[in-house]
Amino acid sequence: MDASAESPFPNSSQELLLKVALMGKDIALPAWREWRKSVDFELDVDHGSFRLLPLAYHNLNSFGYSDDLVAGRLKGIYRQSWIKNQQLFYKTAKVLNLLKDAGIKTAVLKGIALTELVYKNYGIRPMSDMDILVPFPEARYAVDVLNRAGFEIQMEHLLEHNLEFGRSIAFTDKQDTEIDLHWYAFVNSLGNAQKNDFWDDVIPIEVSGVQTHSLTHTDNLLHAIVHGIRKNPEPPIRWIADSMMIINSDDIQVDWQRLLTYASKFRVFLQVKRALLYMRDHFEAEIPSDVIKQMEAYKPSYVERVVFNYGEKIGDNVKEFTLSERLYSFYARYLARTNREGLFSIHVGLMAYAAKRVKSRFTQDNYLTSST
Amino acid sequence: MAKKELEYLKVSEPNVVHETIEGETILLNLGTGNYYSIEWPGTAIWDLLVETGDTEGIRNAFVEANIDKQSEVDEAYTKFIEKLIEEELVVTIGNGDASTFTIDENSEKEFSKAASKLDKLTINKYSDMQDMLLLDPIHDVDDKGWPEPKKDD
Repeated sequence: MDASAESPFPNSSQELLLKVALMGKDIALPAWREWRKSVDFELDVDHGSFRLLPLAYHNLNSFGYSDDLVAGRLKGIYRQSWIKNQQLFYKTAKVLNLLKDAGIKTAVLKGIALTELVYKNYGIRPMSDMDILVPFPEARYAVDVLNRAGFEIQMEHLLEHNLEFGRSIAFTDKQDTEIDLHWYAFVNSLGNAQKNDFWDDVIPIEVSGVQTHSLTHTDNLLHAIVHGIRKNPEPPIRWIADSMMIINSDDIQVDWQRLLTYASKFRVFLQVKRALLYMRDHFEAEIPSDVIKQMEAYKPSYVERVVFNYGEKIGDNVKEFTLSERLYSFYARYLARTNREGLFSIHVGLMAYAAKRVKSRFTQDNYLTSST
Repeated sequence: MAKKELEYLKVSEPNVVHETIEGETILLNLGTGNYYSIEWPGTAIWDLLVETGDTEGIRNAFVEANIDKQSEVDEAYTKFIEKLIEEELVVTIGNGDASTFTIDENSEKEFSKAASKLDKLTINKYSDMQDMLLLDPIHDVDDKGWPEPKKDD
């Protein structure tokens, strides 16, 4: 298992901390003692681990356990996370209200949805931005609404490209809080996306008094996996905490067939398989045996294999590319987006995609690597 | 302050959010950006206020649980409540929106113990939120944890 700093899978100390955060007392307490021995708290806490500390604090506290670090700095990290999240929820409500007043249906993704429905605590899942989904036919209108309200588009030169080939665009408010406006839940196989996908069974929720929606618990699980299981300079191990919290929640029933159907439709089956097997083997996730059988019998396509390998080897937010990595990235990103089948059709599509990209953006020197 | 104004209070929602963890209540006024921390015995009074809103009922029970210190308890309680109002953490409501506080055995014991800790019946206010949030909660804080900054050697 790749356990480099950028891997979506944890190294040994990160796995210990995940156990502290997620497991029962018999596993979590020994893991905490071992983590304290193996990690210098002043020097060795990477960002991925840092983001797990409030959940670790909460879990240890639920056992009635405390020590100098838990009662002091871990509690402080929880307090800070609680305040930052409360501020973010307050701001998110204002953005949701703007879109609501414009008649645009919204759903919240990632941390905000999981905090309301799964974590049920404002301090234990730190987040730095808000993720809001609108139906894709209303993407351009939603961009206009936020723009007119004074939110500033980041990387505006990517807007037209992203509206055609991407899933989102980022805005900031005057205090530099980031708002990620999504029109697709993820970028894979965009041509297969239908208007009702994910929206058909959304859950009504309130964010700071404003009505919005969350995806279903099953779709949130799929989203956590697909979003998280890619290499990233910011260790993306939190997908494990998010996914395990969904799977382990007493009041949540995962619809495994829906999960596999969407995984197949959007060509992310390998990511889902890898994630579920990992959580079964390392965190005792209860995955039904018929789901395991279906995953083992699945024959991934060429496109799925390339996209999966790209996510594991290169992934997101790469700072510097070699030329061959740049070309690989361009190719894999095209494959992730296309819904074409058959090698001939796929590569004809690639030519058309490349021509369109070059034509629309030949004046920009980073046209091969736009991210969203 | 006229006694009647203090009779029934509620949390100033949605601007004020709060949570009690491990004997500490943390509060954030999202309108002003100020952050507050209340320790025991303030947490016990805060929790009862949130539950019932019956300010005078809680006062009477608190005072009666400490017959030999009635005036000190009354004064400390009044200051605490006035501070909550001054900081816009609570607002007055009509008694139709509140419930009547009835003391139980646990609260009576807590109120008796609280009389010896009246100096702790305070609200810690942190108004420099933007600076506080910039503090690294691992390296820039003392052993009590964020938001208490590390003391210079």
